[in-house]
Amino acid sequence: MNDATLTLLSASLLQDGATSALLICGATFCLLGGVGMARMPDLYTRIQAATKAGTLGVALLMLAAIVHFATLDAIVSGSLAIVFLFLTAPVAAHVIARASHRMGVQASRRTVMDQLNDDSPSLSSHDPPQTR
Amino acid sequence: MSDLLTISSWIAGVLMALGTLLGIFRIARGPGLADRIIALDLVGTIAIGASAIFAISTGEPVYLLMCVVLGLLLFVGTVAAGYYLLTTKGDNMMHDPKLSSSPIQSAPTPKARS
Repeated sequence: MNDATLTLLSASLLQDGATSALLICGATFCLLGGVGMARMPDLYTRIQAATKAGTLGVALLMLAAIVHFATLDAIVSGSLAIVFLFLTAPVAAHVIARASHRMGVQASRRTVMDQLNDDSPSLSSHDPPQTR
Repeated sequence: MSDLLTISSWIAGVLMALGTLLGIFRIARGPGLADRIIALDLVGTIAIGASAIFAISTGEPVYLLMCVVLGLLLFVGTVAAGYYLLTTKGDNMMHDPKLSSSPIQSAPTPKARS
């Protein structure tokens, strides 16, 4: 085995290893998003779990695809998907959270403060009510 | 495709299937409509990642374009559902009996806030 094929083989092994590591990490973050969705106590914390963990997991999977293919086509479409996901997922989560807060979805019992709700008793029980 | 990639693709697929099952559990049993919308958003996000895994395991980079289109459709669907929540008056579907003894009272009736 000459030197050139050895270099090629090790480069391919490095590429496959990086792809595998990114795949496993991304799938683990997707699973953590599902666990948070099932286990979190109320709507607002579930939104955090779904948006942050799911988006990071999918971004890692897209990076795995980019590393695996390493062509211009795959790099452009993969990074387009990453940028689009990172731009739109917080917007969608914010729309859902704001709408459900306006409709009166209650937070968990252990919630410390609710800054959108002016007369929240958990604020006034610790401190004097803030005047705005 | 090497053995390493095959094994890690299978492991990633199994993990994401478990995440999807947990999301479907929340869709089936979420106490309110917004929980179901968010769980559906999570399942759609996991589907985008699953199509990336499918692109790797078949060796076709065309499936990465499917991820972009799925992301677009998911965003439009979630924002449309949020707008529907915002413009619906009755809060019958938002009642959660488990949280009704919360010290934080229900939010005030929708005021005009900008």
